[in-house]
Amino acid sequence: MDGTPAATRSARPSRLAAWARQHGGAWRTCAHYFRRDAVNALLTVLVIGIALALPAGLYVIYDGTVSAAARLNLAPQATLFLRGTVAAPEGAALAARLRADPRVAEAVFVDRAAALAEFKAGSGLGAVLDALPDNPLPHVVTLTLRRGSPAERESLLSGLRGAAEVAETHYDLIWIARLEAFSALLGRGVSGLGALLGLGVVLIAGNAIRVGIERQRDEIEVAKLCGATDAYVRRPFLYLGAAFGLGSGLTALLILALLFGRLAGPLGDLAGLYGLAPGAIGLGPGPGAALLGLSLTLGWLGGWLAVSLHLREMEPSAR
Amino acid sequence: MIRFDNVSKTYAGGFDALSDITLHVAPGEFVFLTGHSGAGKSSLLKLVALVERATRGRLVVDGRDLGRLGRRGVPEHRRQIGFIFQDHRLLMDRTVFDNVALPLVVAGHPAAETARRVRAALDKVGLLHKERAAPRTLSSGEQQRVGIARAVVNRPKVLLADEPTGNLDPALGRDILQLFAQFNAIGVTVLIATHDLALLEQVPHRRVTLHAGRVEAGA
Ligand SMILES: Nc1ncnc2c1ncn2[C@@H]1O[C@H](COP(=O)(O)OP(=O)(O)O)[C@@H](O)[C@H]1O
Ligand SMILES: [Mg+2]
Repeated sequence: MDGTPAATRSARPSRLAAWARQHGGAWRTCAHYFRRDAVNALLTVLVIGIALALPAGLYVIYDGTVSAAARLNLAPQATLFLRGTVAAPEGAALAARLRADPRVAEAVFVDRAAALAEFKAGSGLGAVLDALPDNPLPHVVTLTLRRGSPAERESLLSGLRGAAEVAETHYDLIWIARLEAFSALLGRGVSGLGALLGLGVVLIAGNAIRVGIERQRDEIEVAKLCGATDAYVRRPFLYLGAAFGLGSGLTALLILALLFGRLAGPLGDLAGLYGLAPGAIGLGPGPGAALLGLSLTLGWLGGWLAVSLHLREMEPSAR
Repeated sequence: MIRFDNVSKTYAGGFDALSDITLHVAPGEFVFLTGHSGAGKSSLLKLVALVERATRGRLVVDGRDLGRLGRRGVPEHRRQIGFIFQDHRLLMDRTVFDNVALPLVVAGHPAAETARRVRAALDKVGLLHKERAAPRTLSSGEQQRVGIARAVVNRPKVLLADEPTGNLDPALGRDILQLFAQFNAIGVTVLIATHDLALLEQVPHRRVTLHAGRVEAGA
């Protein structure tokens, strides 16, 4: 009270300046809360960081699998053995028809006489084969399919199995199907685990902040008695949640860098086995930034949740 | 300045702490609120500061009908009122300066203005030299004076004090009362709840006595 009573109270502080000051003050309060309970705060950050590293690491593996599969040029192949009654021009016509099918990348007709000649030259069994009364080989069409969905491929092949010219089909898809099933599974695992652990992050951060609120209860009550708004009380805890989230995101990135740094050698060897150049393994800048943004948001949300649930019961009583 | 019209307060659980209170306190008045422990003194002050809400009746403070004031209006209302507690409720991990600055900080006043006003308030209660001290290192009389500085730093029109001398010896109690008299002299309305009879003997101010939640005398 410096001099005059309330009648001459000064004009209200300008809104923008007050807003800026309040945010600055909220950061200081936030830092105060953090320091007051630094060990728990750091532990929280570590726990959330580990929880985030798990789905992020799975994502890296998923992403690596998908891009490796793409680079492997794994076009599915099928071989059609034609019936003995089918003449060469009919076989060639079948191959031409198949080339026009959008699901087919390439179709080559292999004449049985040409196949036999090639086999004789390549196998060194010329004399044995000459002794045979007939050419034992059928006409063949080799197919390279486009990479569509498994269902598309299946419908194409079952149509061919029923075709009049075709005696038998041989279809080499099994390990593509496995790879695709594996990456689909990983993809689901990443999103499912990510959603679950995202919820976990909100709850862990929220709980840590709830504990913080309990510890600051006195301060909050006194501030409210002095005319603090809910927004004023809430703000430092939102910042604290965001700081938890951001710190955890950085921790997760660090964990991933260490982990995939250790895996780089073995993964490079594995890539070599498949004839692939060893690509960079890890979270790229885009997904890394997304992880930080997401963790920040989740932490903020945890803070918001904790304060919203507690603010109403924080109404002070003047003891 | 403060006008109770047939105000009642029933706490959750059905206990009537205040029944049918009608009481007017004029601007600039100095009023003692007395009565036995449990008479409802604290409850009455809490209604004025909107710490609790009246169950029935009409309560108007400085022209504001508190019954019509929504949740969002509460902080602004509290900024117009200085509240002093028996246990002073200082923040023990902050300096004296920061404690006194709190009402200005929550209202978003500029730092320079805040510092000026905090020092003026501390000067008024004779503790300017303690601004960097931790409240814990102060005597209980000094702590109470820090609480008073915090209550007046916002230049409120109304000062409420709940047993402000309850923990102090009589000489210190007299000092505190002196301070309230000074604020009253510059126009602040003062309402002090106390059952400290020795304190009451010293000054001739109006006295309102509560008994079992009703005004017994002085209305
Ligand atoms: N929050 C509360 N809930 C229920 N009863 C309360 C509450 N606060 C006070 N009371 C009761 O209301 C009555 C008046 O209390 P109070 O206003 O503190 O009286 P005083 O300050 O005169 O001692 C007491 O009987 C007390 O037990
Ligand atoms: Mg009381």
